[in-house]
Amino acid sequence: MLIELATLGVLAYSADKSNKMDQQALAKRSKAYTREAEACDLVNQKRNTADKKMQIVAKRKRAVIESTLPRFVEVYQQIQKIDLTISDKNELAVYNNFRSSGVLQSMQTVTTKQLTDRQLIVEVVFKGIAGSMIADSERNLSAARSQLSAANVVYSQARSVAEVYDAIIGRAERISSLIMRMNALFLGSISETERIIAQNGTNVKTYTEQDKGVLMTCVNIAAVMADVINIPVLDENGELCKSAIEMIQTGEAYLEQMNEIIDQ
Amino acid sequence: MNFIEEKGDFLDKNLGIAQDYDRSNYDSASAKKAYKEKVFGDSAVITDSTTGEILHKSQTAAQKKYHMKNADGENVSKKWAEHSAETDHINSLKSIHDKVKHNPFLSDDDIQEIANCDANLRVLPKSLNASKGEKSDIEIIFDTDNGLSLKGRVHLAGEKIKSDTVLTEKLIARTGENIGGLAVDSAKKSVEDNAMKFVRYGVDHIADVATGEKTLEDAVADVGAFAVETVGKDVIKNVADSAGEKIKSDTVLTDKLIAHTDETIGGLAIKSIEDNAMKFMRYGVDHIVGVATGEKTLEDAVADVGAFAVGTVGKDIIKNVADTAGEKIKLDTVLTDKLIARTGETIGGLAVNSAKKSVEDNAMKFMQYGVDHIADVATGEKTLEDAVADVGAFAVETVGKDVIKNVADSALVNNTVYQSLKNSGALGQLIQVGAIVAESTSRLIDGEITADEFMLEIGDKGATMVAQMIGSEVGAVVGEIIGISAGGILGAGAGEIIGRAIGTMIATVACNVIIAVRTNIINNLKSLDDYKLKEKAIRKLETEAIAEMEYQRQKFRNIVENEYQKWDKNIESGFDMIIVSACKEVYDLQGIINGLDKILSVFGKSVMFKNLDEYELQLDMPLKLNF
Repeated sequence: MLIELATLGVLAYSADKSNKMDQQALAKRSKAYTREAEACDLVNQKRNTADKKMQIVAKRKRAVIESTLPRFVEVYQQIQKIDLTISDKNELAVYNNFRSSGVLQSMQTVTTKQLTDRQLIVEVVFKGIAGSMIADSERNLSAARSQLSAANVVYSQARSVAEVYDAIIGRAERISSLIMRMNALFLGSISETERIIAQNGTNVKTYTEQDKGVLMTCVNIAAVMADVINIPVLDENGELCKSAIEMIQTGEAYLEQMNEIIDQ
Repeated sequence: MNFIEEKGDFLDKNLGIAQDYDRSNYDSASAKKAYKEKVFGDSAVITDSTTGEILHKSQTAAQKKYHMKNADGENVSKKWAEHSAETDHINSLKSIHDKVKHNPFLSDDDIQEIANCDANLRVLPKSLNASKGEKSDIEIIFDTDNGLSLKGRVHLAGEKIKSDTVLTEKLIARTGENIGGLAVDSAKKSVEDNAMKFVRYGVDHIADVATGEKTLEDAVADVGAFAVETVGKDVIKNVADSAGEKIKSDTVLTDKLIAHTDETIGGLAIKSIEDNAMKFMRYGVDHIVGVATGEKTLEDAVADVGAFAVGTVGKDIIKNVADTAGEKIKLDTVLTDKLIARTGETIGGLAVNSAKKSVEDNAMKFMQYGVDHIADVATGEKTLEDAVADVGAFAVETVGKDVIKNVADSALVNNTVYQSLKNSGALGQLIQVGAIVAESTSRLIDGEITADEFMLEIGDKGATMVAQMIGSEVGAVVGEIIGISAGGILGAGAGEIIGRAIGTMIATVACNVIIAVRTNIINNLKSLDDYKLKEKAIRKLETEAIAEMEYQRQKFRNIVENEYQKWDKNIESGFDMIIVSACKEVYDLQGIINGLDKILSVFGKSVMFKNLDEYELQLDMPLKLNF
């Protein structure tokens, strides 16, 4: 009778201890899920902003090509033949390619690896039911802690991804701003060129140095505009992009390592 | 249900011991009476060595001498009991029964004969015998409040060690003798059948192996396969077949094990492998061979343990396992008793630092106990207390290996098994075993490591050597038997040598199984704790990853900031220059060109026309623009 009571006591103690550990594990898992959700939110928020900025850049480039450039051609072609080439910018292709590269899809969870039947048997033999119960909770708690660790790394990777998005956003904003300002100059220069041609005719050689200078400035601005239009927001060969890729790949490598440990 | 009653004779002999203890089966009034007569001889009184008091051979004489009754015939004094001689068993009948009841090669008659031999009998005062009651000699020896002098307690200890030595020898010898009845015929036939093979291998070669001139590893390589495949296997198989029949019918075993699992033999074998190779041998070598020869896989063996565990799942089976271990511990306390008693005899001269020190230094004990048993002792409940507390109570100064060796030498001078080990060079291995496991054992007792960790620490090497020691012991016994029958064929001594080789092979085979199964279990246990290592690795990786990723981010941030600073600075500067130049009273063409160049420098480009000459030169050609 005493043995049975003692056994029940051990089991009850073990159950209580096991229960506490399970509660701790639940809290850890909850925190891990929250952290992973925060990571997702952070990346989604940055991505949405970047998407909008990229769209704005693309629209502005298109606006220049479809609106300002024809006006320039119309005015300036009066004095010089223009050999104009407009290539397909496909500005968003590189960005979309980067965005869907899987780099940002690396969220994962750590789960408790199930024991084999043999392991369970050995555990019951050596630790007894109560011991096995506690051991199971310990494993569960350990897995929860590991999940939180993994979530922290995932969140860190999300911060890196967000950093890249911030860089993209910053560059997009600058290009966008530059396009706007250059377009303003371009439009003003076109108007001035239009005025001078109307005033002096189409033989440039008869123009004063200053008028020639106005026409040359208009052409230079048109060339700068072409350069600005051709600047990619994401330059795959640029230092910034290379650095971004290196940073993201470093994070990926750590996440892979973590997966390997978990899968062991 | 009694096996003997149920099965009758076990082969040609009444082998097999009643599992339920019945004193009447083993006590012998005639033997005790004869012993008392021998002690007293023609004297009516002697001086008791334990109490120093006069003992009367006749109880009536003592009662009369010490006035048990008054003039009215009333009992008024018990003083007489201190002077009345009584014959007692040094090792109690029950303790002997407990030790050997699972030995299928002994009978109840054997026990009665051996338990009542002179070496296990003593004469002592009736009062002491009565007060002693169920207490063991060890308890009496260590009880400083029982009124016995130090000299008296030392005397009891001396009697105990002598008795233990003789009983152990007799029980082993009788077991071997009885095994011989089963094994000789098959061994003889096998030796005869394989005589030419033996000649081919050369008896001298085997002798070299057996006498230690060749290592045991070489023995395995050179003689192992041959011995196991020929004589050894035949003998083992035949003995095991016979013993196995008995085992399978053994009520106690079936009650204990079959009730818990259908895989009785498997479960028993695995447990036996873990606990004690000698016991395993007794319980049926066929299972060892079965596993070792591939008739049963290790996976099956482990699965049997699983069936054993799953079938019972609970405290009952754990308790049973613990009980079994407890019985084994009792079985194996002989040498400890000897050492303690010997120490007691020479207090001041021989001293044991502590139970821990004693265990560290006593390599022989490791052989007796086996590695698993040491773990059991250290982690067990009652036995741990007994071993540590009892030995500790007797601890004095320092006892080194030499002292222990001397103790063993002198205490076991007549022990043929020990002497054969010593002569064959195996004693050196005992010391080696001691050296290997000493430190780990110390840590085990200190609670610094668990039994499982202990096994991991001493590793396969320690386990192998322990098993080899057991093998030599077995070989010595089997060898004597084979030597008797095979002497005529191969010459005197050849049988013993072959037997020793067989013993080594048995041990080696068993050892391999022990190690394999244990490794398997330990690996499973380790894998149970893998999650801790995994968590540790994940945490380490987390720390490293976050630090490295933060570094990478900072590096990236610096690059971005540098680039954007350059961008902002040049763009703003360029526009400023353009605006200023355009707004001048006189149109500043160069200022505008410089401003545009400043902007384009961000992208590594420059303006199309740097001056009017360049512009005018191309006016006749188409203006190329690439948007």
